[in-house]
Amino acid sequence: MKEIQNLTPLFDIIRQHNPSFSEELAKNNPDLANVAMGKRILGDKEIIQDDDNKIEVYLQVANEAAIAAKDNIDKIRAVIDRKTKTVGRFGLAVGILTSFSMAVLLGAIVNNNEALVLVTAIIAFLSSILTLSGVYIETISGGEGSISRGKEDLLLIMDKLAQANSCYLVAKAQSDTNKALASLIMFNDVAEKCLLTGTRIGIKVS
Amino acid sequence: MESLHSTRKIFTSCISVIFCLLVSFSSVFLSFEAHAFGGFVSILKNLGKNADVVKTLDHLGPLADQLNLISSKNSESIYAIVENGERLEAQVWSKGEIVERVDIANPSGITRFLNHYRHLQFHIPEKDIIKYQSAFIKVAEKGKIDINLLTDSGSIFPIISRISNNGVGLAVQESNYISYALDAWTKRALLQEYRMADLIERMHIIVMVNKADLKQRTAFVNAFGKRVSLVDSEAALNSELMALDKQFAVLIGHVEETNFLLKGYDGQPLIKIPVKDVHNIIDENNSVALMMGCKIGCKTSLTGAEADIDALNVLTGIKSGVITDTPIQFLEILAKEIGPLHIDKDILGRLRVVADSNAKSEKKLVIGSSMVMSAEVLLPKRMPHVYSPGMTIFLYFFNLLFGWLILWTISKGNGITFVWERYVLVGSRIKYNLSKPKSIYHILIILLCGPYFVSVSLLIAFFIIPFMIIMKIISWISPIPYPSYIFYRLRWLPFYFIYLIVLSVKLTFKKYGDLNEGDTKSDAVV
Repeated sequence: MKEIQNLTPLFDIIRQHNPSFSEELAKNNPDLANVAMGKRILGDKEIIQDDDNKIEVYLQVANEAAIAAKDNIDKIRAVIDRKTKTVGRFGLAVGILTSFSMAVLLGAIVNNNEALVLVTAIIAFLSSILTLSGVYIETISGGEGSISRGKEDLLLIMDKLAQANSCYLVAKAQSDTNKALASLIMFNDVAEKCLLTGTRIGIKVS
Repeated sequence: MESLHSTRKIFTSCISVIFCLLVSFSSVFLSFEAHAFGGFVSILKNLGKNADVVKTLDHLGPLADQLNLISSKNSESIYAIVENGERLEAQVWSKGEIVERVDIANPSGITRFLNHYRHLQFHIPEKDIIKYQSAFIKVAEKGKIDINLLTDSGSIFPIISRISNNGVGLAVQESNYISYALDAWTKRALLQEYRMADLIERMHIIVMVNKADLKQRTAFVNAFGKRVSLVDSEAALNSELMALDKQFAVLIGHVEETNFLLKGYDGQPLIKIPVKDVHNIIDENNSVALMMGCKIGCKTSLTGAEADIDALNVLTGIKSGVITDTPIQFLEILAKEIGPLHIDKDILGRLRVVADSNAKSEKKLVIGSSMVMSAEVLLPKRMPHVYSPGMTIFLYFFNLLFGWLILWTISKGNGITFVWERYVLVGSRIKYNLSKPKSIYHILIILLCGPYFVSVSLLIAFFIIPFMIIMKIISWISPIPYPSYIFYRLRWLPFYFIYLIVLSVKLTFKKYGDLNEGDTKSDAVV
């Protein structure tokens, strides 16, 4: 099963989600032992193995990959939701501060209190800057860890996962080894994107 | 009363002289370098232990004495092949005596002799095994060979025969993890020099890894930051290799046959380049390469692993090894993580030259193309771990100067004698009459040794010990080794802070006057 030995992201997300499946896979398939257990062996280990059950292994791995990918998507979505809420709360707090300082500023102007005018004006200015920069970073610049970028990635991953899943179901129905292999490669792509997006928004890769 | 007084004076003077001399000579050990301090501590720790080993190392010179000692400790007979004048002879030792001698006419006789007695275990002196290497290889080619190498210092190391792409060769098994090619064994002193700090500064790690393998990529970037380059195409690899300049390059990649090979997910090779070619490019750039791939040590004549290795274990090994002092310590730690490591002569001279290129004063060594030759010429058999005389003298006078600065500060202008009596000879009631010519040696001692004693004591108490403790704690809690390494490079800073603190204390309390001034005046002349 040399064809799938290189699909390291796929086996990484499976191992993160279900370590016991990876251990079982390594035990039953010596040629997949290293990749299933997350090792990066820098050589070519020649293991002659009967590949009669190839299709079964492919389908098992694909099934587990689909579950692991969904789990990863849920984690990413949870982080993005949390970040969105945090940014919203922060925006609200800064907005209140701006409004309040503006009110005080007006009062100070009416009462001709120069010191208070200066202080509240500075506070109002800083809070406005914070609001503007937060909005710019999150919505316009689309930086590495931004929420909008995360949401875009999430949509892309879900799209790819749907394609991989349908390919897997067709392969399962037709018992087609080539289609099963193709579905694994597609799941690998999903896994790679999951790990990449996860890393961007601060989920640790183990 | 007068005689008692003079006796006490002589006694105190003698003690002072001995004490000051001891302190002065301690500069060899108690310099500010942490590793020298560590060496001193290890000597103290080993005092009284391993008496046999010490005896073997220190008192056994001639080969016969070594064989005598070894055979007297073994219940079975010891078989040795030694050069006796112009001829070679096999000796059988039992209970400390030669019980049989067999004349071996010439080197070709070794082959005949060993083939006949191949079931026995032989001890061969280091110089003979290297001299008659080809004869031993001929025996090894026919199968297992049971030979031990007997070093000049009386240590014994097994010789193993190993099969590589270049055929059968002999190697010295120094430990479970490290084996040396015979040619490299004689020059292993180059790996025992304190050069790792310089090498780490010039270390660059190149990892051949797929773009999608985030786990590996993240692990390397988190561990080594800008010191790591991740490549996934031949163009990127070539560009990284060409950019190396007098650097310690660690190449990590998948090896098949004798090529670095990186495959895409479709099975197509993204990188395929012979290991030898990579080595040659690095060599041309005056750099040294440590190739990390499966069985490189067996597949090529280069230093490398002898079994399958895991890239993530290589990462852990390098991370653990960066705070070592010598290249061999680094390689041992690496080998413990990844498995057996074979050391060949390809890295020996180059490691030294690359490390030297970090020191401004020795840049001339790497100018020109004869870098390997320049290193070969300088090869000693065993490198002593002591400072050069110039360095020792520099450290002595530097410490002296620092000590004087400290004393000048704390004495508040009361002079040398006051400081000597107040801080060095604490509690002594003996005073010196410095107006007498006889007392001139006292002045010399005070000038040359007193401040040194104070500065060394201060350094040990306030700098070296806290520094080592803090460095250890940082290395425990830090996820990456760099903080402690940076701390190590900045080890001089606290040294100056101590002086600044003392100076500020002096200035702060100046307004209260010199409380000891009255005492000094009353003790001035006895």
